[in-house]
This record gives sequence, structure tokens and C-alpha cells, in this order.
Amino acid sequence: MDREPNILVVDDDREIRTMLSEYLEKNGLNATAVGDADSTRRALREADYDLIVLDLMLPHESGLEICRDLRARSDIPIIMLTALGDEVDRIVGLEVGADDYMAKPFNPRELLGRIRAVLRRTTRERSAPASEAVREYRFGDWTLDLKARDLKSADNETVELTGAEFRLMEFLLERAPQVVTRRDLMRELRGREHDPFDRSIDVQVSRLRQKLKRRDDDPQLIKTVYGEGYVVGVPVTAG
Amino acid sequence: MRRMPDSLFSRLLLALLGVIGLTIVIAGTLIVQERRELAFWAGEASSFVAVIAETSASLAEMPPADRDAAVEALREEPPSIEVEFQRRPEQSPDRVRTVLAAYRRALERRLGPDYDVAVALADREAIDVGIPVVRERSGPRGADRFERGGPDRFERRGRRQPRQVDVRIGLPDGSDLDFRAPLPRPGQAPPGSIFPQLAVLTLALGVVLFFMTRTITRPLSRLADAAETVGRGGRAAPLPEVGAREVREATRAFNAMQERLHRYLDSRTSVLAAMSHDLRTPLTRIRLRVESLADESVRERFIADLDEMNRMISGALSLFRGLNDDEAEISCDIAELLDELRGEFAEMGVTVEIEGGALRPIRIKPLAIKRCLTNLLSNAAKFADKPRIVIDDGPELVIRVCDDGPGIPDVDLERVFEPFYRVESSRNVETGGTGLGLSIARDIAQAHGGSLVLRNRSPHGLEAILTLPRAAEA
Repeated sequence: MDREPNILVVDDDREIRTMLSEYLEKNGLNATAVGDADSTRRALREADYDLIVLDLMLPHESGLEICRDLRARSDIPIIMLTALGDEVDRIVGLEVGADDYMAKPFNPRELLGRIRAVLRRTTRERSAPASEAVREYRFGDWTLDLKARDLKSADNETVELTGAEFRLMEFLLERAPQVVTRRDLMRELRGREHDPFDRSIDVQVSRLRQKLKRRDDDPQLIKTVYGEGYVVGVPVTAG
Repeated sequence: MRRMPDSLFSRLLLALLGVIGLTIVIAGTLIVQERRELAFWAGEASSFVAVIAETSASLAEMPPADRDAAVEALREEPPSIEVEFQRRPEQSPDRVRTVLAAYRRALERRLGPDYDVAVALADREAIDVGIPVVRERSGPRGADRFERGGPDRFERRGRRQPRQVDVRIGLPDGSDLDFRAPLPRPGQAPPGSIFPQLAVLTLALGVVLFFMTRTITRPLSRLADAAETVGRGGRAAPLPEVGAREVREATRAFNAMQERLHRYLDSRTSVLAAMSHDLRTPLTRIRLRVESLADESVRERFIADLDEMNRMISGALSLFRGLNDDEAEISCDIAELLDELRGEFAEMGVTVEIEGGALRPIRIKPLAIKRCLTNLLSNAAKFADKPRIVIDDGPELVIRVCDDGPGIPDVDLERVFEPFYRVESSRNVETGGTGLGLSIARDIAQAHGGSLVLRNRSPHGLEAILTLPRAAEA
């Protein structure tokens, strides 16, 4: 990336968004701070942003709605901030397509680390796929299309995946038939060290499993290896 | 007492059926007896009683010297009673005894207390039925085969049951008169149809009672089910106010209670959610401001305090949320859940041993139970290298989390469940956690209708016993 990444900070608390932008600026990022949904949309129309730091609780329109709305038309990375701090609430953020989340009060350095990790990943994704030979993975009855970034069944039915789910699926397929540890997944997908009580990876795996399991007797394609991690349990062909 | 049916419904039904059945049996018996008595006295027996009584009374008024002549005269003119000597059915000893007693009582009523009446089955049959025989008393009363006042005796001589009755009347002046009368035919048996009729009646009553009782008890069991649901932290639909007044009142009170309870819980939850947000916003500000502090050591201390505050907020929130979370109960394989836990602890370098297994899946809220077990295992892992889980399945699923650590003093076994309570020796942040783990674990157990207790093991160690009932899933 030749310019400094543009970050949009959305939080209804003026002091938080100001201090957070200052902190990000100080650490080599361009940051713009806004306080609600309308100004977020306006900001997105006026400039290109590389990443949004989005507070879950906003007046009028919640962060979840903004996130869902954005996901419908763009792949821009989103990191959710939530003061609810409950696992379930955080997971909701992932379900509407956020790339990662942080519970308030957060450690600004950690947020910075995650922002950088997400940016690194998206930059690599934007530059890499064209050059590499792999355009799709076939496993079981499914095809993961790396260009269209979606999952197709044998009867050509498309299953919608969120950005995070797609990256999880891609990473598991890329490494198959090796077992991928939770630590690897955390590092690759979240850019941070594994915390055993952070269930977000397992939540995404189980959501992915649900999407891959359309009938009760469908086999479990993503297998759990106890004490180690996850593995795709069927042969994978890259094409 | 084991055999006693358990439900109010079956007890009530049984009691009502019992009382009504008994009434029908008693009424039936009385009717049958009455009919027999009527039949008995409507027949020849009453004529003989009348003849015997009249003859005895008139003979008693005569001077003893004239009696023989009077008896002779009676022989010439036998009383005009027709006795049919057709074959009469043999009667049971009980029945004969009843007939003899009835004879005696009727004569005593007619003659009054001055006369002495004795009745016995004849020892041989004679044809001069109804003709008195005067005889002087030959010995002390009671030495003959007659019996007075006591049970009337009869003896069976020969093969055939005699069909005649000897009646001995002791006149007031001391002489005896002997009569011979036919053994009355048994009263006509009640029509056999009465029993099926009674059975049909009983059956009809039974059906009516069944539905009546069910109408009474059903709202009660619905009330109990709903109370159970609410007790487990669920939400029951308001119950229809039906049935008897008392039941309706109880239902109304229950509905009102549930409504108030949920209003209270809801308002508490929303207050807590708001509080958590409102507390975390200033905490976030402080945290951001702390970054600009130049002094590293001051910054570190600020951060540590902020972290602890945040941990306490999270702990308190998850404690309150445990009471009314929305997770649905699903049928769940406990072994799979424990395997998952084992995997997670293995990643932290803690080996968890699992013994035993569940016989079949159990209905639980999997995330809640997992949180509960995680809390218990983390506690165990702090004090022992290899925490052990032992599963016993039966009417309830019992999961014991054991460690071989030092245990805790007996006085603390119950107090550690209090929020923020810590055993003195663990009162530091490194091992102590938030002091809410066990409170949350017990809340989860109780929300499942189960229980969680701690027990010291011998020689040392602690075990947490989580009991989850299976009853509700039958």
C-alpha cells in the first residue's frame, strides 16, 4: 500500500472517537471520526476507506444495521466495537459480516494490531488471487469459488458466506488435509494470539457447518480434532 | 402406602368411586334382604306362625286338664293350611339358620315374653303338620336339642335335609307344646338382572366421575407445569382461568405473579444492559486517555485497575443474565460437550480425565451448561494437575468434577457460592478470578431444575457435584 490507510471511526461518544482517531493518527493511519449512521454514509460517499471501526450501539440506527447494510454492497473490512461485551452480542457482529470485534473497554494497542492484521489480509487478498493458479476448491459436493467468493453446492445452489466465513473456509481448504489449530486460525484470521476462552472461531466454524449441512444425514465436512483444531474431512482438489 | 395412587386425579377418582361403590353395595344388600324377608313372610311361614301362636295362646288359657281334649279336637279339624309337599330345594346351612331364627323371632313377637320359644330342624318328617302335641316337661330346659335365645340349632340326620321344623312353645305355666311346621321355602331370589344393572350404573357413574374429576384436577396440573416452567426460568403462556372458584383464583394469582416477575426481570435486565454500556463508555475513555500518560508504571497500574473493574462488570452481568437468558433447551449429547471441553482445556495445557458416560441425550441449554462446567473445571484446574470428570447416569444425570487439591474448609463449602465471596487463601487476583464463577455455575444448574454442591474428598481434594434431572423429558 503506497498511501496511509484510511480508517473511519464510528462512535456516538465524541471523546472516544476523537481520542481513538488521534491514537490511530499517531500510529501512522489516517483516521476520520463520525458519530452516527447518516454521517457514516456521507463519509463513505465522499472518500475511500480501507476499514471501518464501528460501534455497535449508536443512536437511531445500530451498528449492526449499518454493518448489514454495508455488507450488502461492499467488502470493506469492519471491526465492531461493543460495550455489551457478552459473547452472544459479539457473535451477532460476526453474523452480520463484521471481520472482527472488540469489547469495550478495549486496549487501543490491541485494536491497532487487529486493524493492521485485517488490512494486511485484505491487501494480500486483493493482490494475490489473480496471480495464483488456484481459482476454486472442490470438496465433497461443494465448490468454493475464490473469485466470486462464494460457495456452490453440486446442484449449483449458492450459499452466502460472510467475509470472515469465506476466509475461514478458504484457510481450512488451503491447509487440508492438515489439521489447522485454533492458534493458527486466530493468527491468520484475527491477527492475534489464541485465547482459549475466545469462542469466536468455534462460533464461525459451527455456523459454517450449519451452512454445509443441508440435511440431517449430511456428513460433517469440517471435523473437530480434539485438543488440536479443525480439519476438512474429505479430499480437497484445487482447480 | 406405596400402592396408593400418586396424582390428585387418581386419588379423587378412587375415593369417589369407592364411596359410591360402597353405597351401591350396601343399598343392594339391603334391597336383597328386604325382598327375601318379604317373600318369606308372604308365604306359608306367616300362616304357620299365626296358627302356632293362636293355638298356644288359647291352650295356655285352658286349665291343664282340658288341654288334651282340646288338642284331640284340633286333630279332628286340622288347620286349613295347604302345605305342598313337593320337593323343596335343599338350602344352605346358613340359610336354614336364618329361617329358623326368623321363625323364632316372629313367634316371640306374637306371644310376648311369657312364652318360651325354641325352634329346631325336625329330626324326622311327619305329616301332621301344624298339629300341636302337648307334653309335660321331661327334664330341665336346655338339655334337649332345642335351644332358646341362642343360635337356633339344627342337625342333619341321614342324607336328606329334613324339610320340617319342630317348634316348641313353653307355656307360661311351664308345660311345653310341640308343633311341627314345614321348613319355609326360601324367599324368591332377587331377579338376576339387578347385578348387571348395578354394574352398568356403576360404570356410567365411573365415566361421569372420571370426566368430572379430570375437569377439577386438570387446571391444577397445568398450574403445576406452568409453575415448574417459571421456576426453571422459562416463560409460560398465561393460563386460562377455568374450573372451580378456588382453582380460578389460584390461576389468576399465578398469572399475575408471573407477569410481575417477568416485568421485574425485564426491567432489571434492561437496567443492567444500560448500566453496562454506560459504565463501559467512561471506562473506554479512561483507557484511551491512559495511553497518553508518559509514566509507564502509572499507566500499567491504571490499566490493571481498569481491567479489574471491567472483569467485575462482566462477571456481574453474566451472573444476572444467567437468570433469564434466551438460550433454547435442546437434546444434547453430554459426552460430545465434555469432549469439546476436554479439547479446550488441552489447549491450555490441562489434561481432563473423563469417566463414565451418559446413557442417552439430555435436554439442556448447551452453552449455559458448558459455561457452568468450564467454571467448575477452571476452579479444579487451579488446584490440581489433572481434574477428573465422573458421569453417573440414571433418573438424573450426575456430573462430578473432582480435583486432588487441598480442598476448602467445610464452613466455606456453601459460602463460596455467594457472589464475590472468596476463600481467604485465594483472595488475590491471580488465582481468585472474579468470585462469580460458582454463583454463575449454580444459577445455571438451578435454571435447569438441578443442583450444584461442593464436597471435600478424602483424603484431600474437592468435588463439585452437578445434578441435572431427567424427569421433565419423559
